[in-house]
Amino acid sequence: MMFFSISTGFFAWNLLKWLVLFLVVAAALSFAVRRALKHGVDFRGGAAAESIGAFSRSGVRSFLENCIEPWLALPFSPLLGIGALFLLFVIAVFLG
Amino acid sequence: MTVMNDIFPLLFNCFVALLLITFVFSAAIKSDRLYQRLAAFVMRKMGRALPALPEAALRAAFHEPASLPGRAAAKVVIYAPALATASLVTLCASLPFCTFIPIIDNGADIIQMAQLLLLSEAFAVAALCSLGTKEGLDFAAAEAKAALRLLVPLAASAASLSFFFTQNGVDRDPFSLNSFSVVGRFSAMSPFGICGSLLFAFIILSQIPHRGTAESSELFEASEMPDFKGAPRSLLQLWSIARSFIIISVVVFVFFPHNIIENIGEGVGIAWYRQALSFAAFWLAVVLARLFVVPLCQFAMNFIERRTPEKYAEAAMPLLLAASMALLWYEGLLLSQEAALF
Repeated sequence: MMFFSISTGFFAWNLLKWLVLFLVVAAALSFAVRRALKHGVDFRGGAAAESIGAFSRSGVRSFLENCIEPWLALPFSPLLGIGALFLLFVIAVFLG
Repeated sequence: MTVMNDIFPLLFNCFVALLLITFVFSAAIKSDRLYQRLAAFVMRKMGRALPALPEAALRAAFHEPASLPGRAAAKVVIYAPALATASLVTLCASLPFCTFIPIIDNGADIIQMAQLLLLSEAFAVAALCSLGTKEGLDFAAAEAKAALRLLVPLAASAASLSFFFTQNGVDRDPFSLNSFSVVGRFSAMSPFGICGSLLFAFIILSQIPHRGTAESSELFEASEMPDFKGAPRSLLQLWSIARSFIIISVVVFVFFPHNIIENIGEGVGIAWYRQALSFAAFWLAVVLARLFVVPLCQFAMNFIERRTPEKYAEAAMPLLLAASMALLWYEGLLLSQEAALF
């Protein structure tokens, strides 16, 4: 049980309660989606359709192309944003 | 027996909380629809082109026969939207104004909020990526970028406000949303601090994900992604609308004059009546902010970005953010200097 709660002088996070709530709601919603899709899913275009999805092709090369390169390509790279986010979390925790 | 004594209040609290969260989600959808109508009306009066047609009602879209693009990773596309929405519900449950009787005992801190937002974002982006089309990947990249542009100001405001509050001698949890209510503290702030916190509100509200100032906060327009239909699509739309609404409600909560409403309620004298009054006033303020303040902020931010040279237009928001952080940190340093003088 110790594992499931993080507490400092200021706050106590009860991760177990979060997890239970998340799982219950996720199960309920998944069930609703399953019921809504009980007549089956129509796949448009079939196997002939061009596939570009990051998770629909295997291989290290396609993973690099789809998941890593877009992050490095932009002039204002999202990596910069993530770095800023991390830094701000650290500042908030240590200065706050 | 003790177990029974624990379980029934817990179930009751969960029921009340889920009722309130359902209310929040439906309020989000209703105010979004209202905004679409309002925007269409204003556009027609001004003689501009109408915005794109809104998507059909979400409930009807949910029960529509489902279809996916040819080589989508079906399991991920079908179930990831449900997980994204579930993490938004968890986020709601940790906000003080979505659960009157807390079911997750904590102070609803902003850091935890940002973490749950990131989690739901990850599920949504995974769903978009696994659609297996070029359009889906473009959507995922745009979505990830928009989310970062929203989360970085949120985390920055949490860091600077908590720094300011600890300098100001707040003895409670400095990240807690309850100690973030700024309005009561405005009288104790110098103009720097007031400007800084107002600028933060402006930046966060202007970065609420949207397709255009006149459009709703849905993820897809009706004409986009014609191959992707059914329950997962409508859950993603719901997720996008609810996320915007929740962030607006958090900003409104920080700036809401709780003490004034409490004072009005005190004249009435009945406890539940006062509660109901502040509840209605708060959610009315959130809906009004969605209808008028958010489009205004987005319009102003567009104006600023158009005025800056095109090469640096993307840097306008980070620069404003740095300015507001500097203002609040300067205020905090001033305060600590005063404290050191004593």
